[in-house]
Amino acid sequence: MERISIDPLTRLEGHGKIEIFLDEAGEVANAYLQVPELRGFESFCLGRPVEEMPTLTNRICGVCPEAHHMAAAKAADAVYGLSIPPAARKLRELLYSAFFFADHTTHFFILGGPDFIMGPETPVAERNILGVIHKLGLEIGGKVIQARRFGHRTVEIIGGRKVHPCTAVPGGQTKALVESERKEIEAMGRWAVEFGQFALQAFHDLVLGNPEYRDMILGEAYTHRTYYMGLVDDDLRVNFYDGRVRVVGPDGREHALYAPADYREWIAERVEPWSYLKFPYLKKVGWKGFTDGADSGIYMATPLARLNVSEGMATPLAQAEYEKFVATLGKPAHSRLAIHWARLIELLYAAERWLQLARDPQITSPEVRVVASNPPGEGVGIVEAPRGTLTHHYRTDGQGLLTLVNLVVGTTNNNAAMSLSIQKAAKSLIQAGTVVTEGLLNRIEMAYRAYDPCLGCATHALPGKIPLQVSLHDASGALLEVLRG
Amino acid sequence: MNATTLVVGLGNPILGDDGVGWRVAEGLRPALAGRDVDVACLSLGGLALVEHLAGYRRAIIVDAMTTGAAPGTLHDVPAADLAGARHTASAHDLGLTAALDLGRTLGLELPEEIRVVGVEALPDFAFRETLSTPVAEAISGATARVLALLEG
Repeated sequence: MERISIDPLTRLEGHGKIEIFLDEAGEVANAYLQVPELRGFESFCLGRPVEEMPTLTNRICGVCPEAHHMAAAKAADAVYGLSIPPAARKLRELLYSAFFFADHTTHFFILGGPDFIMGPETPVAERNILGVIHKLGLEIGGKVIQARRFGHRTVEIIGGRKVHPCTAVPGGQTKALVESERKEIEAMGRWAVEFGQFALQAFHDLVLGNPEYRDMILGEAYTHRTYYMGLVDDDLRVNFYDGRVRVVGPDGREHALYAPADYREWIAERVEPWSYLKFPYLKKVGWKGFTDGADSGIYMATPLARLNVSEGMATPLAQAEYEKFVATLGKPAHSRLAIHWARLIELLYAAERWLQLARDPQITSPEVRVVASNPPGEGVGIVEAPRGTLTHHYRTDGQGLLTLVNLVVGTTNNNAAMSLSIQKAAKSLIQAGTVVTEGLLNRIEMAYRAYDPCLGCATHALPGKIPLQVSLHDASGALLEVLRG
Repeated sequence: MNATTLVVGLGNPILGDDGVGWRVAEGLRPALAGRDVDVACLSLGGLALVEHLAGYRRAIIVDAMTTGAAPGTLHDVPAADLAGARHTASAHDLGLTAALDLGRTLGLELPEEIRVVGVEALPDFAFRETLSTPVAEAISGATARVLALLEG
């Protein structure tokens, strides 16, 4: 059996590699995403006070600490049976909207978008934000930096720190917002809405306006008919911070609508010997291996999944774009590359929600915290992380010291779905006699990169690794050749 | 106003040897009080790091490294020599070199001189608050190296 490995992945967080196994005829037999996940976080937390979790889980990963901060605070609220004041809830959602805005911006313009903007055949050295600036002009780079700056600044004002916020505690927030801060956040929110519209216009012009990319998005190579998961509000619209989890099937029909505390009735997890990352699946459908369809419990939780499970967006500009999206792709939309479009619709929604909340008369209320009076017990907190539904589940003893910690993180939800995508792309793009070129392998990378996978690690030990390594093995496993991108 | 120089401890304080940058930076704070030097403990590389460097004329980054040398070995290199980090699959988006290129292209005022003081770490990063013995023993050497660079 011949083996091709793409290692490590370029432009995504954490370390992982793709292994492609070929048979004697040179056809793809199997393809997997292998993740050497950092281990031991859940056991590291045991015995610690539950109120440490919002700041401790921040450190799981340097990419979405805000998501862990929120899920941990919500789970800790639930451990103490607390209902937080309305202003605290709104402050958390405001911070979270600004975070989503900055994170989605980074993904589209720096991580995933360059594939489209530059084209998959472009050499890796140019297929990045610098190439994008070279092609589209300096102004776009400046806007991306500004978007990140405003997002981080809003997180800092509400969360007390840039990147690793520390103000969400069981029962609410430690810090209320004052009027001068509210004004600053509102001004940044206005700019963010304009940027969100600009980003969508860029997507329409550069991607949907290009027949080659349009075909790629609508084509079968990147399509899977799976289940979808996401949080929805009481009107079944997308919500990042709170609500119930809705799951729909490949035909779009509702499979589940459950409160966070019930997640274990619906989700089971399995392990595979070749990966440290767990594979969650829908318990009532069951695990049927790496295959899609209504009989397979594999689901996806991404921006596209959130749009598929919801009945629309809660803000007007994002809703208008959502309608265009559904008219073009149908519902549910199964093309994985449509995740990029869905992400930009969410980016615009996040900006509009940011502005709405900044103008909410309650947002500067000094009532931002209630004090715990109930004994601690057990709680589940769920938010949508940019990369998918994020679940924190804690149980404590009578002193509030943790005895159980279970985390189902955004990327983990998509672990099986990503392997499906890699297999399918590999099978359609590598056939007997096909010469492996970087553009070809990059199209396989595009299959998983659309998920914006974050492999859960904040190690960025220097000097880093070689970007792309492809190892070719013959049928006996002997190394034939190593190609570097 | 920023000081002229920034010393950054980079890493994750609860991820074993990856926390060495923070330990060195925290240890330097008292010695650098009252001098024209800011000290920061950060967890993100790439673009987020470069955004932090803006406005300083000089920067020293202390971080864990995994080059295959013996754990605890000190490295001291100009950031420009870390071209291998260009595409590092790191905490975000870009490696340091690409992020610096981007920042300069966009007109951010970035330090003219960026040094990286690295401490060779054990490669099996796992969640714990302690450093391995050879890395803990390297803290004083790394601290002295940073102070010497500041004098230079």
